[in-house]
Amino acid sequence: MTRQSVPVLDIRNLSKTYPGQVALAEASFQVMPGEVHALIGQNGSGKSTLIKTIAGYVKADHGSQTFMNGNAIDLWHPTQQQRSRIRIVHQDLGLVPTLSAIENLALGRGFDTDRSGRIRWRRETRRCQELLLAFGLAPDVRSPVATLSAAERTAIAIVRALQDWDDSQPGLLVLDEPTASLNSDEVSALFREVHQLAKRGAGIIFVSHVLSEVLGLANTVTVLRDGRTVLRNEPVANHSQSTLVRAMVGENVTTQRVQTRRQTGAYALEVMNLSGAVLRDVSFKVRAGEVVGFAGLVGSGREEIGNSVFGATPRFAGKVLVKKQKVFAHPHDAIRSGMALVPADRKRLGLIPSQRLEDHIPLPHLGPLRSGLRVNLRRLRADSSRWAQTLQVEPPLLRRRLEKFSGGNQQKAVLARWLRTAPQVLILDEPTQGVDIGAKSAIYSTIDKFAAEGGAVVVVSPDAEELVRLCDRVLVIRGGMIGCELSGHNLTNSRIVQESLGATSLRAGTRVVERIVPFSVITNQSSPSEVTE
Amino acid sequence: MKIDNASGEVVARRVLKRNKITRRWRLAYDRTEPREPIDSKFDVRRSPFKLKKLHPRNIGVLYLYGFAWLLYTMWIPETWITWLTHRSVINQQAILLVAAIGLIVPLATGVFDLSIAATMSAAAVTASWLLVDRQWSVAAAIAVALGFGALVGAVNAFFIVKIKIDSFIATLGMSSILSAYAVWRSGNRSILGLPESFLALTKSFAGGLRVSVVIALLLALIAWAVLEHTPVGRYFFATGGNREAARLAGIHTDRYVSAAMIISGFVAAIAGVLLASQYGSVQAQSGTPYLLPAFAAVYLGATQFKRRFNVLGTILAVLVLQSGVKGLQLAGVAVLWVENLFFGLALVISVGFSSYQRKVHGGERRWWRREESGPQFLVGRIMGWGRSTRNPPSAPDAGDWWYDPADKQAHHHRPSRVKRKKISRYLPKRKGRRSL
Repeated sequence: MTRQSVPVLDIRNLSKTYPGQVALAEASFQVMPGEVHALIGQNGSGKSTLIKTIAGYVKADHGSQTFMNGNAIDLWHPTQQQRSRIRIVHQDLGLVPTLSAIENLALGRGFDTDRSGRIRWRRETRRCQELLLAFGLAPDVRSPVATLSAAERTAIAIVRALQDWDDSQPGLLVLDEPTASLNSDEVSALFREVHQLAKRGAGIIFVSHVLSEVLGLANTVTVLRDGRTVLRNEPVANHSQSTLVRAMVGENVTTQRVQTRRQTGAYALEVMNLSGAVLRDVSFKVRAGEVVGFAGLVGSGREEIGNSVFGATPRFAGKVLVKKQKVFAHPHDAIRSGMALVPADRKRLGLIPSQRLEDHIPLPHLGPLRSGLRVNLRRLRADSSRWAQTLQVEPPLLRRRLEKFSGGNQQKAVLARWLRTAPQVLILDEPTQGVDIGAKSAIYSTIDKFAAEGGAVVVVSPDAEELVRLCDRVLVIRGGMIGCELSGHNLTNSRIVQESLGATSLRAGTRVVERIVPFSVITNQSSPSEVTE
Repeated sequence: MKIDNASGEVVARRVLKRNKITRRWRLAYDRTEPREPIDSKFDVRRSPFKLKKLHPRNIGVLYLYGFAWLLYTMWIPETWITWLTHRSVINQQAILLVAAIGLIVPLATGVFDLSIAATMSAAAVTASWLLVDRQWSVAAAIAVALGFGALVGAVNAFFIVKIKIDSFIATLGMSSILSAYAVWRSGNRSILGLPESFLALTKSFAGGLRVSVVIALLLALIAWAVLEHTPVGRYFFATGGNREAARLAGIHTDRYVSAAMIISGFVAAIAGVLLASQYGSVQAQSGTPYLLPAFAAVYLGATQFKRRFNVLGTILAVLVLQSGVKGLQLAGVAVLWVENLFFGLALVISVGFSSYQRKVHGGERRWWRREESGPQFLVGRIMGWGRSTRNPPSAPDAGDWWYDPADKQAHHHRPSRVKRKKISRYLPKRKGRRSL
């Protein structure tokens, strides 16, 4: 490591404020040439904002200073030369799925053409194949990228980022969760490439949720928490998984827990052997009056569970009972049997943006508003006005289109719609995503009240703090299966994060990560966890 | 007076000039005093003026109609101001109206039906072939033709819902298949010699109006009642607004899409039968000229009254489109292409206008788009239209000089103009210097 040389990227006091929240507060770190720099943090810690700022998608607040190879650089308006020195592989890879690998590689840089303007396909194909062979892959470079495997796509994205790499001056490569869909061989091939590149003098920023990979690959680590830089340029050798988790979660975080509710009710929701695209054989039961949370990393199957139980996405196997009655896997049937789902993707699934508030709230349950064949508009208005008032939708304008409400008030309207159907089981998928703090607490208290009145609640959330605040017990999903159950004094922020991260290398049961570089400290973090009933 | 909508005070002062309007403002404010869900009538953010409903944004088509009347009255007074002209406009529009009503339902549900014109031709050809070549009874022939339309809709629905072809492509293909059927069945000739009893179905009754007008209005009434006042109508619109969200709200969206396609096929077949009966001769392409006008009318209608597809707006749009074309024809403007040009322009301009208005500009609006400086402001000032939805004035309270709830006749006393006092009065007095 060449600590004495000039950093490839030197970020000082970089802040980013969105209306209503600070995404990044005075972040600063340095990436040295030949260094693999890991950037870790929980969801919402400001990692992605930082990467977007480096990529030039987001403009940082005034007062930040960034230097590249010792020269000041404006990330919002980099020069052409500076731009070519920063290469980024985003989490979603940014490939055009309908184009072939060759065409995807040529997107930024252009095709190799002869004098008549014809593309030299043979030369392009050979070049593309050679680049991919470095990863030990030989995919069909002429078929659309969508038909290739996830690993091949990742390799193409990385190759695309690295093509025409110029070694004369150190550059920066940002890898945003590149290993999310790779198996161990592919991961080691990737790591080999990354090491080679680092040897050639490039600085590499490596974002990952898998701590063992971080410990294995990176030289230095920077940890973000709530937008603040907790650890800065720390040598990885000084750290273990547990110290990193503690840095990510913070020790003094004690979320206000409401007093534990007594769970005396009968089982309102029983899910047996549920399997879906990622989920494998998930079973759990929720009593009336109980709030059960689901935690897990992105891709662990957490996103699927709410939709799958409700029947919004197909269930491959398993059954769902509400009050001992079997529920067919269609939203209509689920609603009739007393389930309600507040989906995660509010804009796309939760509401109809062009609808008025007064039309939105009663939509799933128009029956009681009918007089004869027609809908009684006066009663409809009175009813939705009552619900809008109950949940304090601001401003309470019934004729306003939903697209004009703020995120928090949209979410309140969605909640109002589902509470109005008097459900037995309320499933909330990321209930406070994109919601401001005021609306957040209002939503929390609504959920508490609903549970206190004897409703069963399932909360699926990436936010550990939220789960601790709301839930009686939390089930952690790892690799599509329920990894462990946390309740009582075990139900803490850090335990949730620890358990979610704990077995990520077993994602979908396929992958065991090998350690490439031996200098990391191996710590066994997996504590004996309770098994689900 | 300085015009500044940003501060409610100045506006209020302007409003105060008219006692009547002031009272309306105050009424509106009084009712909104407790912050509870409010109907638009009492919504401070909307204008409390009833006249707002006459705003061109709301019923622009009516102004267009007035303009057409003005234009043609001056241009071709002797032919325009006759009952004969308007009777024929209304009679002609009946069929177009039926086709447009059939089209509203799938468009509200978020699917296209491009096959309505071909369905019209095919149903007309089927009915007349059965009547002329097969000598079927009128009732049976009509029943088969209508059933044929519903079947076409069902096949469309199958391709859209089950096979999951985009509705645009599916109905385009169906349209082509249907015109092939119509040409084959009619032998590419006009079918003439329809029986008298069939022609009598749409004969004139009161004042030369045809029965088809009554049928069209009846269908419009049914469509209005179903779309606006039943749960089913709400489900149609919800499906059209966001199909996946509607499905998650427990609506069987596939069923509603299918129903919409079947309804549109069925209603298009009604239009086809009326067409055959009204004109007495049927060709394979009889329905084709109705496709673009029907779309134009529905989209133009969607810019009226509400910002979604609605029956009343469509009726108005049909009337205006037909009148505009009729006037041009009567004025003797190149007859062959003027109709197509007119409908095309009307469609693009109307839809473009409404979607341009809906667009939210990132920063400040251009001066001509701003309500306080654009043309709308001048017109609005003259007509006394309400204020815009942006920059609502703050609700008055007891301290405001122009509003005092204790005083029943607040608007009677207006503070006398306060003379601006000399500024020197407020400056510190000079001392000492003078003694120099």
